[in-house]
Amino acid sequence: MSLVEDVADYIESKLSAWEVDTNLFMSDEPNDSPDKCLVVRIVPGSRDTESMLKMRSVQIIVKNIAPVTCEEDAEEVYNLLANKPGFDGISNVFYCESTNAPFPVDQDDRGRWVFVFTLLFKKL
Amino acid sequence: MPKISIEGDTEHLKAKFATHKLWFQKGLKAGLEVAMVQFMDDCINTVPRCPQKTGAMAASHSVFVGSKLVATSEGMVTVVNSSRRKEKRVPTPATTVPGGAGGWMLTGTLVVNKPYAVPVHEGIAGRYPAKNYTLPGSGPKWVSSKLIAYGDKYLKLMASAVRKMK
Repeated sequence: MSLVEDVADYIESKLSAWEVDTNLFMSDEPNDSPDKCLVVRIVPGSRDTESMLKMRSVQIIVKNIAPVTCEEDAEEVYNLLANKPGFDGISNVFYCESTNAPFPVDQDDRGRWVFVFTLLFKKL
Repeated sequence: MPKISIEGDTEHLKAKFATHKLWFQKGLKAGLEVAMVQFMDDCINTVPRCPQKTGAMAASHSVFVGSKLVATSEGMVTVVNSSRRKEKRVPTPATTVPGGAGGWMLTGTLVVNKPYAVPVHEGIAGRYPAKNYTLPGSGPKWVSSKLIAYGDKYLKLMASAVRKMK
């Protein structure tokens, strides 16, 4: 399975508010997505080190009509993953480093608030 | 329990340390300036490149070391002016550091001085068509991805400048 699938499944297994293909999407968001939704996707910023350590940047986008709820949702997912070692079900990942904490980007074309953060997964 | 005590005069070392500290600081600052210019160049010219439609945002990058303006990208990019909303299609590189120069710490800052830069950088289709990167090789995260990919290169540039200063 790809890293994006692994991360999405991990969030679904740990947080009951998110369900894959219902309000938790991989790589892209469908046009008819619910007002509260989350997208996991790979973004530029990955590299392999000389010691074969793989670093992969994963961006999490959280959307909601209510800005406070949106921030809370983003913080909940961030606290689940950021700066934590080892994850059940995400193969070979031994650490997840935070590149930046959740911050509001803008409102999207449907008026939903958008909070975003990026994580750096370190895997063998 | 026997004890061994060693005494030494470190006065001459203190003077040398003070001199070395001075050239180290100078070298580090010069190196950071070189590294920041290289960083800005990578942001604009290395994949994922800074998105360019008219070039106004690509030409609005500035790099600072402390509060000193080191360079802007204004001369690195050709700006194509559009007849529509022409007043917004001009480069506006920052000339002062927003939020201060970092106090006593030696800081390098890159500023992309356009209000739509954050959603475009994050690839969020908000009020701006952020998903449409028309320039081949351009894309989201054109700044942050360079720190991950080329962070070691920037440190080596700084180390090289310190060695030259010696």
